[in-house]
Amino acid sequence: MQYTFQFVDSIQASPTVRLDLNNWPFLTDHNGLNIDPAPVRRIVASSMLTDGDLITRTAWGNRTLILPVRLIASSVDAAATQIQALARELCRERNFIRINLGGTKNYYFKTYAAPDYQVKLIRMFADTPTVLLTIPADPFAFGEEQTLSPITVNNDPTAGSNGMFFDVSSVMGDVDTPLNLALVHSAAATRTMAIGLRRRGTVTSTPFRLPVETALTLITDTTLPGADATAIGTGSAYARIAFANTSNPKIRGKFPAAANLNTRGRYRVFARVRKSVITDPIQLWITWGGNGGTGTIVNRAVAVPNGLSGWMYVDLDRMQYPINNDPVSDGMSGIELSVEGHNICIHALRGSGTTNLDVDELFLVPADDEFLFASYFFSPVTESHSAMVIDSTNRMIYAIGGSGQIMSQTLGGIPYLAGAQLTARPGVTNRYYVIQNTNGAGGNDLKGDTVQVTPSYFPAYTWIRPATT
Amino acid sequence: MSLKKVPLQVRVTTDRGDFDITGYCRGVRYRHAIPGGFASVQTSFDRPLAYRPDLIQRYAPLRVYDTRDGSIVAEGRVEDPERAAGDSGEIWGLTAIGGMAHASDFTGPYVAVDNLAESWIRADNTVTKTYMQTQQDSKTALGTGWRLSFERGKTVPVGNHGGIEYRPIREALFQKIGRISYTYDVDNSDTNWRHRLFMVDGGGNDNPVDLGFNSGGGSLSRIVQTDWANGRDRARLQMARNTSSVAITTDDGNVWFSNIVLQAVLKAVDGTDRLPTGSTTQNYAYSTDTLLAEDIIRDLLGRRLTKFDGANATIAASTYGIDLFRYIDGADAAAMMNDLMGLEPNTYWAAWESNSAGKYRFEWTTWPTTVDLLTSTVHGFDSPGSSDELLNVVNVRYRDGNGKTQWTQRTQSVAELTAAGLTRAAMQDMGEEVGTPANSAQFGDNFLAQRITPPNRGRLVVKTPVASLSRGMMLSPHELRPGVLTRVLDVEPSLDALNTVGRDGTTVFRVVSTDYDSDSDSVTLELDSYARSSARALADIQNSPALTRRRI
Repeated sequence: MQYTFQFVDSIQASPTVRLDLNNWPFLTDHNGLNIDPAPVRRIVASSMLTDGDLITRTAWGNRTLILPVRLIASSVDAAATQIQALARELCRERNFIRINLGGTKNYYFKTYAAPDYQVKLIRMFADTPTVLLTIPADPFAFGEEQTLSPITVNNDPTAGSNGMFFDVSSVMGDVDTPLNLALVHSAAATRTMAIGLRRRGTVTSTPFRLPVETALTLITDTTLPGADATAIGTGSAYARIAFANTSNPKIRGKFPAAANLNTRGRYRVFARVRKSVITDPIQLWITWGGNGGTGTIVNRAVAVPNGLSGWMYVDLDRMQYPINNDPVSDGMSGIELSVEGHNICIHALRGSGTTNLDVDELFLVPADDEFLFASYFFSPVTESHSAMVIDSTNRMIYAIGGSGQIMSQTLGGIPYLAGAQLTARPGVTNRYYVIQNTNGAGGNDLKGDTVQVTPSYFPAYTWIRPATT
Repeated sequence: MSLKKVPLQVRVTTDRGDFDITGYCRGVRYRHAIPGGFASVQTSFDRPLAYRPDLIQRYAPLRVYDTRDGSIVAEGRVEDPERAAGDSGEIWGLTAIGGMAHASDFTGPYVAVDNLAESWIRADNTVTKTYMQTQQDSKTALGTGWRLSFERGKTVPVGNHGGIEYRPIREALFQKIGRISYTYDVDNSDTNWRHRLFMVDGGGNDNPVDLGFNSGGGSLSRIVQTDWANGRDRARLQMARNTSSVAITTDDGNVWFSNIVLQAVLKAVDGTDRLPTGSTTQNYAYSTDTLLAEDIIRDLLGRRLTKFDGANATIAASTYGIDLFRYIDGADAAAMMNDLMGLEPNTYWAAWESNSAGKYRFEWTTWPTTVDLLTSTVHGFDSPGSSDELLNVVNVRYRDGNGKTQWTQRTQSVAELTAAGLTRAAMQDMGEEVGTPANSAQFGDNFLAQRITPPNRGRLVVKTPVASLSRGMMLSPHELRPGVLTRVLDVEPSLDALNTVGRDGTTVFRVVSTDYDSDSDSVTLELDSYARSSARALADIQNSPALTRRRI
């Protein structure tokens, strides 16, 4: 069986092989070969006040590849030429080693420079040395990039498919891997997009959408004006706060109605709202917790942005189910405990003027795993953008052109990512909830908007790669 | 499956781009403190020193995010980077100073309310000005004020006038006068002797008061917009001769001015002037001789603290009327707010994360009275313990309106000191910026109230999530902030530990600062007041006010 140990220039199906370490004149010796999984670093909290040590954080460290390589040359000069080629590869600041131990698929290690190797001369002549390569590398081995089919994410949660979310499932690999997203809008778009990830439990049971007009109770000063095609609510319904008085809350109720394992977690609450007078000041906030009343936890009031005549999403900060302490499971059993919903109360105060505040929906975006704000200006015509790329591998966002080239961006400011490096996890459904246009950054929010998302990733392995996963 | 890394992102924004440096920075440490809020962030990364990386830029925003929910946990602006080369390689160090530093961006004169007689100067403007006599004097014992008169033996022509002028509000970088009030008295009833008030600026003047001596004495107040045009920045109090000349033959040709109080026109948080009428939300009546701390805070937000989000600031209601707030020799907003903390009990100011417009969230708020964090000593706790800050007396020094040093003494009953038969007194210096009898008493009472129970200068280490009762969720070490009360669950409880109002020094403590280190994923809480350390002691010495204030 011919094994593969090659320095290549990239991770792809047919990279350029720069140096083959298991093909004449090189031979990789299996004795002493070490491609163990990367070590794990741990933060251990211990004291004499408790039994046992608590491991609070873990992270992979770099791995060290140990490759014993024998060189068989016809002369010392020939050996020197090959050793020079080896030295040049080992001196590259970053490099790729492609390995295959007889399986179907290759996998790649991204390495660091390691020109300090040990030389063992078999004989006094230097034409058959054995060198012990000790090469530091990134923690994981990678497979070739997997690009999924484009997904059209609708801005309407009641849409037939992908209503404000998209799924990435059947992820190949052993461990979480950075997820890259190519975003395409139908027209020029300024966005501050919020993406929250849920991938535990049953993702379809995540309490994401809270239809105000049906799930909560309207208090004095709040009515249901009727259908509005621009509203998301059931029958395009929404609630209207008229501010005839200053009493609060305006809307309240228990959500979700029934206890559920999948309710558990921390969420970032977004309200889809609209003002009738765009310059009148409105303070909006929620209180939450408990089974009745107005809730004991008071989130900070936020100003509803001025200047938009249509719907917009306002960030009302975070909320947790359950409130305060959560044991998660029953003692040592590991059996997860269900979580009851609690009251959510919407409060609003008008500082001056005559505006109404229309409240369409609340959205609870999961905020206990990975959460990201992506701010950008997509300009397909003026700037010739083909897509905006959220590059989680390199932790940056940029525009690309039709040939995948990096495009400069002169309009709309510097794009940025704030928050998590998005990842995809094997063995689960990774559901990414999307609020396309937060805080009115991109003008009025239109429920008919869509964004095409093309996910891609490099499968990550601890050391060896199966044929299909 | 992913391992449970520290869920933080470190991001720097320069004019070259937006850089996520999480993957190659050598950990991150940050500090929050009360007062102030976000204090500093420190990190370092490996790059050659031969050229400056694009992500190094003075004053570039550096933000630390919680990757689980996208919230900002620390933030600052990059100061001069550090550079080092050695066994660890070539390293750039970044220190970002938090938004609280903007409270010290500008140092200059400031006047909100001024009741000092020494603020006035003689200002004659008549040909025969040598006849005019002005002196700081008071008709009542221990009073402060001014007496205007014409020299005995002289004949004062019609139209002669002279008096005193107030300029400090103008000299405070062209602030404007919003209110004036004073008490006046006269020694005769000649209607041709007039006392007049003029409000002046470079473009003109208004004359809101013109009273003959026959009206007798009294007190009055006048306000902007109603009595003079907005923009007047000087006040003149005059004695004038009207209708007919007179020969001065007696010593009763005096007018006395006392209890003279001026207020500057206040700003709203958006920087517009607050006037008695004309706005639906920002009118200010200028109806009393005192100001509330909340109104001074709004003025500072609109006038100087423009890097803070004044429009959405949280400003707690105040109760104490401040009768002197005047920094003629200059001060920054941080120093002024720290003085306000001494006058308004249990308050503090803090600047936290920035919004999309780059303005920092600001709060002027009070310490909570209910416990928020439930912590324990399991990961480390030390409390040196000391009773040296139990006090039952404080002597407060200030300078009065005539420039003389005065003292106010305040007392309180402390059970432990009473039982031991001890009297322990401290001294505090109010100086001339805020020193009045009333302010000194208020400050002294607040000062003593914080010393009725032993402050627990200590540290508590937290390495695991703790419950936050105010937030309704478990908070990880990197999320903890000061400005809250914590109950340390395995410290000796006191009888009233379960019914706490404020801290009790034994079980419930104020968290005054937090220091987080990502390498250990732990945060150190400083409790009550700052922990005893050499660094803290040196900082206290450096920041303590001078015992005497000198006039330049």
